[in-house]
Amino acid sequence: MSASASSRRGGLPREALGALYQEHERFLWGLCYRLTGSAADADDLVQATFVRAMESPPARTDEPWRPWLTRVAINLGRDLLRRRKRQRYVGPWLPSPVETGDESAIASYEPQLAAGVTTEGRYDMLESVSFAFLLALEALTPKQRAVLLLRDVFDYSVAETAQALGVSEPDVKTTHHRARRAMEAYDHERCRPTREVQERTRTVLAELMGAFARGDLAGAERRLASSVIALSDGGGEFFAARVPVVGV
Amino acid sequence: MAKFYGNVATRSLAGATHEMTMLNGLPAIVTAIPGPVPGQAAHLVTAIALDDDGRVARIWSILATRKLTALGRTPAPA
Repeated sequence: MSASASSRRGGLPREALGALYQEHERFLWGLCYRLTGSAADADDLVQATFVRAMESPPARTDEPWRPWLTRVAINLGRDLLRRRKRQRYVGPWLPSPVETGDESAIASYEPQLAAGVTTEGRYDMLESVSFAFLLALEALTPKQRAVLLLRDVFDYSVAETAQALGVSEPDVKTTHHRARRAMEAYDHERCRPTREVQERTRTVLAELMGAFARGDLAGAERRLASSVIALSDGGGEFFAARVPVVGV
Repeated sequence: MAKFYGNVATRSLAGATHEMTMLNGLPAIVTAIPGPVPGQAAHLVTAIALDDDGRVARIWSILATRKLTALGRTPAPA
């Protein structure tokens, strides 16, 4: 039974779904993680997207699936972000950490680019999972986040972005312009995770933790900027500061 | 802040193990606390960002269980 024949009867065969999953899961996960800043939410969104593909596939299953899957994942992600905005979160919200390997390696669950192809987006794959970047995205509306990620991280054209979101090209351009404006503060203080920055961070982090462990407060203070801000995300489950701690 | 974190490190994290690993593009510390008391997380992640002078401008501590589900996923080889 072909995939298109199955779709006419309202479902997608399991073997066809498996192949789709193999091909698109990493891309969708990377997109959903950046969209929500949450690995658990990305897991849920990817799963929900493939459930949708199995239960209600598009009318034309002989056409490339990536645009349809992207549209479904983003729509589900935008719904999730809107729900999250309505819910009250206890204390500061922070992104969930994901392992990215040493240096500039991209984690195994990240979208792979074809050999020799590098992203020309404004933000590269590694920078776009940094805590600073994901926190900056919190200032954007769900639609702005989606447009900014597709245009400036995943290198989608205006037309591809419009297709993925089901909106007009002028709408994409306007939303993108507003999204970039909302990212100006981040862009101004932007610090890409280069090898040099990674090494400097490794050194300072080890020194800071060592000073705390020894009870060497003067040593710790020397490594803190006077305007340092500490945020803790206990999710309401654990003892954690519920407001930002500011200053040395 | 130094006093606050100093107290946490010497009292609440006594006996904890710390591992430095690459999270979200930068080195971070994953702390495991053996036998946490009620209200205390068993694991927490501490990440920082530096300013232009190389001083710590941000400290992020993540304890929420749902936030730590991706830890332990194998990164790709370099």
